[in-house]
Amino acid sequence: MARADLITSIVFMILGLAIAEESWRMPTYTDVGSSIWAAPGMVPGLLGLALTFMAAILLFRSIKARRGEGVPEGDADDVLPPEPGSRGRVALTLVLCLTYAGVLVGNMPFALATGLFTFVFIMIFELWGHPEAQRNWLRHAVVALIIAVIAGWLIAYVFSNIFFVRLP
Amino acid sequence: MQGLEYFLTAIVSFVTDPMALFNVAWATLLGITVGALPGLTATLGIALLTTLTFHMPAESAILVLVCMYVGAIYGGSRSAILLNIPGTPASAATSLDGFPLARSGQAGRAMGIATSGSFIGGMIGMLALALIAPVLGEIALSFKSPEFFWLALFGILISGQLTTTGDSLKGWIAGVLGLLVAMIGQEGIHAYQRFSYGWTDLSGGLALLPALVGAFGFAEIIGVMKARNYETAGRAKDRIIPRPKEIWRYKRTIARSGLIGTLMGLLPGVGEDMGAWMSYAAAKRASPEKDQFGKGAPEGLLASETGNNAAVPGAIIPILTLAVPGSAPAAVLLAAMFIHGIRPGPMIMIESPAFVFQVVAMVFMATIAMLVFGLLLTKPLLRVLSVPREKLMPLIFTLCTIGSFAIAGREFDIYVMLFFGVTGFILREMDYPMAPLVLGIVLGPLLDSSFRRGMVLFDGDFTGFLIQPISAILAAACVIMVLASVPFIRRPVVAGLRRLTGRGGADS
Repeated sequence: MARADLITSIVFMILGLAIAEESWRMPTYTDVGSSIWAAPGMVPGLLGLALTFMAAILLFRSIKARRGEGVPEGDADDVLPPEPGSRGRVALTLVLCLTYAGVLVGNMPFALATGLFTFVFIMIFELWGHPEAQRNWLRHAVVALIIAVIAGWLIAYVFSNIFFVRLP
Repeated sequence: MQGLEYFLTAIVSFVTDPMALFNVAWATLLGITVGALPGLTATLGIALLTTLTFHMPAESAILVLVCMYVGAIYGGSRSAILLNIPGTPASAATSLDGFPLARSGQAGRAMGIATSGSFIGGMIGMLALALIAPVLGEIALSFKSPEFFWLALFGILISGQLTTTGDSLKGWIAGVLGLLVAMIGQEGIHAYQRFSYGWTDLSGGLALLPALVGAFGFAEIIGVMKARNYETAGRAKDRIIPRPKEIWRYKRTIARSGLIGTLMGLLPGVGEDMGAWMSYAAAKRASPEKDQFGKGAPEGLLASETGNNAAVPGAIIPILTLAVPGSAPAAVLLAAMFIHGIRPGPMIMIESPAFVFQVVAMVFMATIAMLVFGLLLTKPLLRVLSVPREKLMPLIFTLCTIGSFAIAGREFDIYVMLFFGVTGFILREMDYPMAPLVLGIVLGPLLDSSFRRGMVLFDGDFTGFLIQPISAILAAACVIMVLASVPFIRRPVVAGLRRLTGRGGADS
């Protein structure tokens, strides 16, 4: 966690400074008689500085922890190795979800996009790393197809005809 | 007495209206299901349901959302007991004793105890809501810019402090990030568009609901898919109807947990998770059977479940009287009230006192429904828990997508959901709590306008923020919290707190 904290603290420091700088450049409206304290950049500027300050403490602490001078509280679970395959599963979930919501939805009929996403998601996660499921792939595919068709149709129908929401 | 009259009128109107009864039934049941399923939290449940209640009259919509809230916080106990996975983070403490009880063949007994605790906790919280809300509303009437500024700051600090595992710095960073998110878009004094870069979608600011659906829905889905697969549900062969004698034996624990839970709900952005953890820790400290805690102690289970359900009405108190959410799910409820044209805040006891007691009646109806379903429908709920995540998660994600879109019909909100999902997941992996972030998004505009208005009013003299008694008390609380985080002051304080609480919690 100390390494992750080191990186995030630097990111937050840069973010905080960028926000403070951007806030500084905002108009103050003092030329039209407004108080400097009412300037739009006042609060975000202060918050940006607060973020930078807190990130600096985090940076200091993570450097200290990396040198082994003391591990901050809440870091005890760092020693556990990541579970096997967990990174792959996270990456796959991200790719599938981002492709569906960011690319498919809006570029093809919603019901079709939903059905396609549901089918592919179920198939990949049920078969990946499960040799027994791979042998019975046809059974899995049929079940996934049924769920995908029903889900795609039902969600689109309920939202457009019952809740009167325009589909993306 | 006027309050009692409003309450009874509301109860009669609900009981005699078949549509209201139907709404209570389905929404509570859906809430229990949502709460029981790992990956579906109370916050997400209320956020998704808000998008579906647009067309309903305001009163029915809020009734449905309150039922979802009460049901979901209770429902989390099912998976905590049967799978050792808290269905909502609020039931994390429940699994400590609930699961060992279930493993020793007493799953039914554990579910019975959890149901009784949740019911009594809900009732204690409801009573507190009815008694405290009018008083707090009265006090809040005198709030001006300094009080609101300190209240917002106090909320962020206490939420950041109590929702992390001993490391308040990360909680506060999360809170400031939330406040900064709220700074995007047009501000209230000069109508200047901050951080918008000429982008029309950004000029209105980021909507709360898609952000929440991302942080509590998409982020949770990634988390569930990351974890090792959970075992399918166990079986409850023993009796589930609790024995009154067993519950009565722990009457002190119940009363204490109910009060602690309500208080944790009342504090801005703290909520159900800490309601459960604090009650659990206090029960452990006071119990003569300390060594049984964590090995299947009914008392621990009872404390945790009483605490989290008492926090639900507790978290509604500041929503109604101050428009400040007591927890993450309560933040969604607050947003839903605004969407439906209800204006919670200090004026509510003057403008619509009946509404406050209508909400009390809604909590009552939801808690009764929760008790009935909790005791009767054990088998169907067990079946729900055995749905594999590979089949459930894509369906949840499609609901997150269409739900985010449905709020305003903008594709931009889908991207907001995706952004908060990925960022929320990364932050959570690094132990940043989500509750202060949410509270920051909600309180950002209040903090911004009250600070600037106050400073203009006092002509740049900050002491103006300190002279009124309430603002002085809140300011002192903020200073103490910050000072206590400085290592050489903190160490003895933390040592004392550790003994008091045992351990920390996560966000709902």
